[in-house]
Formats: sequence, C-alpha cells, structure tokens
Amino acid sequence: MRPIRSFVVTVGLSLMLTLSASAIAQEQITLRFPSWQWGQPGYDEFFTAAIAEFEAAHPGVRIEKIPVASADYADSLTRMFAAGDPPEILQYLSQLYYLAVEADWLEELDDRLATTDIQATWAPYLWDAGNQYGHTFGIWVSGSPIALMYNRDMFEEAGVAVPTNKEEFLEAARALTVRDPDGTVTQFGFALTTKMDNNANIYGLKNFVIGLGGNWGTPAGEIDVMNPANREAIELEKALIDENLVPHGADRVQARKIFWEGHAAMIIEGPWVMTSVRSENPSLLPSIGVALMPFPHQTAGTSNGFAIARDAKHKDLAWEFLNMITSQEWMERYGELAGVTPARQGALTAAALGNGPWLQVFADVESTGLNYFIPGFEAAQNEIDKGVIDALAEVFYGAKPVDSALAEIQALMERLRE
Amino acid sequence: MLPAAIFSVAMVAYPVIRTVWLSVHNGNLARPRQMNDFVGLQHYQRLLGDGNFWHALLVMVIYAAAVTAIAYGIGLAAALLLERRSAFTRISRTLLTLPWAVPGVVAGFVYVWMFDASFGVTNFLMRRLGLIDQPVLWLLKSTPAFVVVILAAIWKTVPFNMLTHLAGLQAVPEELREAARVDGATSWQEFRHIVWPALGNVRVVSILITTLHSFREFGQIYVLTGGGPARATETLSVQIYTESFGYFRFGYASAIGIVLLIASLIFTVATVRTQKTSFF
Repeated sequence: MRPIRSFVVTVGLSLMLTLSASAIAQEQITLRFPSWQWGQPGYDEFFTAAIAEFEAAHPGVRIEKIPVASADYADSLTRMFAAGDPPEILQYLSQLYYLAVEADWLEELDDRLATTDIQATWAPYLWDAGNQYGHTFGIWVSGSPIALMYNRDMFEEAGVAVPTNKEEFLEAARALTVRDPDGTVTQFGFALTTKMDNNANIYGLKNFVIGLGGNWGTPAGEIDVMNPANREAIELEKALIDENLVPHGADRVQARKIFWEGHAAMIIEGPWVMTSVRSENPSLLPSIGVALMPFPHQTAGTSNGFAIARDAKHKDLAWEFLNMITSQEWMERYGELAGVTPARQGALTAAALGNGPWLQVFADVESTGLNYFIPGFEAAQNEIDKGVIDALAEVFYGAKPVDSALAEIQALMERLRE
Repeated sequence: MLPAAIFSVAMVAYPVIRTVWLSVHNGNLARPRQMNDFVGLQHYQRLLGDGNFWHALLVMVIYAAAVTAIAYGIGLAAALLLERRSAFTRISRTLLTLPWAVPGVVAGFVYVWMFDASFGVTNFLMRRLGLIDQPVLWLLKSTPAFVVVILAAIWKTVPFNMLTHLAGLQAVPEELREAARVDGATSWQEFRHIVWPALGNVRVVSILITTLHSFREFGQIYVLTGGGPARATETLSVQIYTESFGYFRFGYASAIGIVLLIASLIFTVATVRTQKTSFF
C-alpha cells in the first residue's frame, strides 16, 4: 500500500503544481517577439521603448524579447511555423517574407489596414512590396537604401577623391589599402563580404550587380543571367579579392566591424552601419562620409517588416502593437533612434537628420533605388543566392571561368522557373 | 517494461515513420495545398539524377573515412602511450579528453577563427615560422576547407577512441603480455600478436560509432563552412538541412534522410558481423 500511496501523493502534488502554474500563466499574456535586432544599437532602444509603452497601456500583457542571430533568423522562424507555434509579434527578413506568403503562413491585413492611414502615407515602393496576389500581408517599416560610406581621414591622407564610377572605385580601393613591410594588410581599401558559406554573404556582390545595371532577372521577370553587367560585377569583385584589397572570408557582421573599427576605408551598406559606428566607435563618426554608390544605378530594397501569422495567438494584441509602432509618432522615433529612413513619408524629422545628416543621402537613394528581387522568383531567393554563391566561390577563390559560373546560374534560374 | 517500450516507440520509431511518410509525400512547405499529396517514389527518383546528392554522398564517405581512420589511429596511439598509470598519464588523459566535452558548435566557431584567412592564429604562426609568404585561404578554397573540417572532427573524436581503447587494454590478459616479453618478444611483436587481436571487438565498436557519428555530423560542419565553399564540405546531413530550412522541401530532404539511414544500417550490419566472440 505504501508505494501506491506515495505514487498517488506524488501525482496529486504534480497536478496541483501544474494547474497553479497554468493559472498564473493565464493571468498574464505573453507576446513573443523574436528579432535579429535585439542588441543592435538604435533598433534595440526603439523596440524596447515601444514595448515599455505598450505594456504600460496593456496591464497583464508582456512582450518577450527573443534574440536570434540574423544568419539563423529565417531558420528559427521556419521551425516555429513548422511546429505550428509562430510568434505573436512577427518580424521578417525579405527572403522569408515571400516564402511565408507562398506557404500561406500570413494573415491578410487588408481589413485591419483599412482603418489606418498607412496606405496613404507609406513610401510607395514599400507599400507595394507588402502586396501579393491582391492582398497586403506585411508592413515594411523601413527600406534598405544602400550607399557608399567612407573614411574621410583615410581619403585625405592618401590624396584620393571620393569615387563616382567603377574605375575610380577600384583605383581608390587600391590606393587606400595599406600593407606592412611583410605584406600584411593593415588597412583594407574596401570592406566586402567574402565568406563563401552562406547565401546571406552574397550581399556585397548583389550591390555591385544592381549598381552596374545587372541582375539574374529583369523587372518583368525574364531570366537575364547573361547580362554583361553581371559579368562586370563579378569581375569587379574578383579584382578586389585577387589584389587583396578586401578582407578574406568576412561575413556581413565582420565586414561592418572592420569598417567601424577603422580598418577599412570604404563600405557599401545601409544606414544601420552609421548607427553602429555611432554606438561602437563614436570617435570615428565625424570622419565618416556618405555618398551615392559609385555606379550608374542605386539599390534600395526592403529591409524589415512585420506581419501577423495566421496561426498566432492574440492577433488583436499583436495588431495593436504594430499599429502603435507604425504611427506617425513612433515612426518619427524610429528614424531618430534607429538612424534609418522610416517607411512613413514625412516621418524623417529634423532631429533625426540632426543626429544623422547622412540620412538625407539614403532618403534620396530610396526614391530611385532598384530592388534585387526578381518578380516571379521572390520565394526562391534563398535558393538563387545559394546557387550564385556556390557557382562563384571557385571563381573568386579559384580558377573557375566566369562563363562556367554564369552557365550554372542560368541553369538554376531555368530550373526554378519550371 | 511497458513504459520503456512506449518511450522507445515514441522517441525512435515515430520520427522514422514520420520521415518515411514525408519522403513519399510532396512535403513542400512553400506549397501548403500540395504538401500532403502522395508522390510515391518521386523524391527517390529525383535523388538518382541529382548530381548534388551524389556529390554530398561522396563528400560524406570521404569525410567519414578520413575522420575514422585518423581519429582511430591517434586514439589507439594515445591509449598505448598512456596505458601505464602515473601522474603524467593521468593529467595527459584528462587533457586529451577535454575536446570531447566541448560542444561541436563551439568547437566549430573556435576553428573558424583559428583558420580565418585574415586574422586567424594559424596563418599568423605559419608566417612567423616562415612556412608561408601569403595567408592560406583555409575556409575559402575547397580542399583546404575540407581539410579543416576533417581536422576539427578528428580533434573532437580522438578522445572517444582513446578512452575506448584504454578500457579495452585493461581487458587484455597481462599474463599473456608478460609471457611474450619473457619469451623475448619485442614491443612491436607484443602489439601485433597479442594486443591488436585482443582489441578486435573494441576496434569494431570504435570504428562503428565514429563512422556513424561522422555520417550524421551537422553542427560543426555548418558553423565552419555551411557546406561550402562551392559544396566542397556539403555532406548529406548538411544537404538535408539546406533542403529543409533553406528551400522548404521537407519531402525531398526526408528522402535523403532515409537514404542516409539505410546507408548507416548497412554499414552497421556489415561492421558488427566482423565482431568475434573471443580474442583470437
């Protein structure tokens, strides 16, 4: 009898504890907010402030920050969706957004958006980017305008002018690369992502491709791999790598770090790099200039946005949070704190420009910049980027002919079209 | 018995059954309306014609063979050297066991930095020793990247091989070894005719577990190279991950997983059959 009584007591206690915990949990609602931007200067401050205000206005509701590394973000969200447990506050990266729409993971927001002024006030290219199949599934809160950031002091010391075309850019990279007597590079002319492992690290090449007028497809969705501008972009990157003007094997985070630590003269990236410089190495900030990419075209895609998962719990609360952060007041704070150009037109304040006068360059880029995504191939962007980096790895770090790599990319695009 | 049986079924059989089910259905998360459509052997037929699959299989076989052979050799040598008990051997055994305690992902990150082309300590030391003039692009070229991936795996796997052989050496009858020494046998003859045959079953277990571990290794490889450059280090495990989480093709990834499972089973059966019931 004693073992049975012990068993019954144990089970009873366990049930009581479980029910108590459940009761406590039911009193508080938790909205999970995974993001790759937790810990990133500017973004963290903005979202933390937004959460504080939201929680103050909603007693019993708590928003849980879940930091996820940017390279793992798409995978982490995929796992959550595949498990049928998507986060309540859903922030997405560009590639994942289109896949999520195809996978029918996202709720249509048309009815909710009809009660707001977002369509009337949003930057048109960002509003359009959230529309698929005649419905709006996502709200992009900022775009991804890309510009050339450069270290003025290094340029002055080398007697080099800010480049305005591809040839000047390559010459500047050569002139600004400094080596020790034993050949070790102590200052790179350009901070480029050169790690050949992950499709996220195709970033640097993408900017060259778009800037020089290329892409793997046209805005009409036709395959265009053999566009001479694509070859030109690949050859530009190969020259930078072969002449050791760039750090070898750097991913995006490392490339930015090399720049903000003052070990590289130039970088082509988004406005968030300036926010990082301000946070990580403020003494360098006065030395950094911002100019248009030294190519015939500029690039401005989508950056990060928000949506609501079809299977999420507490959708109304999630929408209230999104509605709050996309308001005029909070979009102005977004520009001021995160140091980026907000998607809401007219939300770039004098204070934001005062903190970051370079934002005007990025705002100008947004009006003319071209997107990397190819209509009809958006959901396959991960596979395209992986295929491109696999095809080009041995072009950049081997003897593989460019033609051979282009033929592989062409075959990939044709297979994906089918 | 019943709770244990239920647990085994739940934790082992269900994932396998589910994977087999996925491998004969569409399984494309990006096509939710077709995801549960039965497709029969379509994924397996695709495998046969997929050059990337055969390449990943070859990479996996070479990787497993290299890691197993070298880790086994070093582990055995370490066990023989550290067989006798002393303060030195106790400390050495502890130090040599440490890599086993380091999570694969952590080890991967350490190796990434050690072999970084611009800032890694390996290139720094090699330049200082005059072994190279220019930095070696370890993780950026196919062959060096494959070497680093194998090296990192060997570092992680040697402790297991050393420990299993240390345990095996304890079971070798000491009187046989003494008798051999009394009869004038050299150390090599003692090893070749007594110790090596006596370690037969330990050898089988060691090789089996090391190889199976190599077949399914993912975290360390993914952190080091992501399967690159240009798929040079993409094993079947890495390909499964890419197909699933990169392209949402869970059905096709499951088919690759089943092939990997069958390969592992065949290898296990073939290896276990070489086990002997006695030393000689």
